[in-house]
Amino acid sequence: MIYTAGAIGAVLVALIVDRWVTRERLVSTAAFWIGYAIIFVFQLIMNGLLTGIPVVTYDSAVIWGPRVVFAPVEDLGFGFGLVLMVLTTWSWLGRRDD
Amino acid sequence: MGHWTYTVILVGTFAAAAWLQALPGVHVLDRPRRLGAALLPGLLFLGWDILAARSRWWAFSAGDTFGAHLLGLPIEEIVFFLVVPVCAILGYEAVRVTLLRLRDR
Repeated sequence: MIYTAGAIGAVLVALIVDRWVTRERLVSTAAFWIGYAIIFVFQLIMNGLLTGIPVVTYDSAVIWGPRVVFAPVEDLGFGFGLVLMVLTTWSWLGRRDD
Repeated sequence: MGHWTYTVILVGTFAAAAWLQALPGVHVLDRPRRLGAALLPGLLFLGWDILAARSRWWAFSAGDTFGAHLLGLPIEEIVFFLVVPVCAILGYEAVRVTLLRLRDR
């Protein structure tokens, strides 16, 4: 279940970067959560296609098992981690603009 | 769609978000340096992806990709890490700008 551990790690690292490293604290803003809710729907569609067709197949030994729209539940963690870390960085870089 | 499958999914995803750039106050694609730098955390996930492919934790269908590989990944999978973060930023900016406008009204 190394894929499971990786997904948990991705969420934790993204939260640490957002809250303490950059102090952007996007997870305390409405803009992030409304934006993420929209992104989440598209993530389910895109990842559902990739894993449902399937373009990508997983070794069942490295995943936990539960699936959401064809994709291993871990992908929700990786998606959240990637999106939060990118948005935190984008926001941090834009501080001078605002 | 055969070999085009993954490419069509990427183009469709980008198209779903690209129009947000046209909304007043949304400046993403016209800030190439800031955008490029914001994509850097994606390298962490790309590294994990390379490790996962090399360790055979997952595999990509040869029938749904063109077959060109880089660092052990189909080119399409590398483009994923350009397309998805750009779409996320466009979505976030559209929401942020809209909320600011509503608040200032």
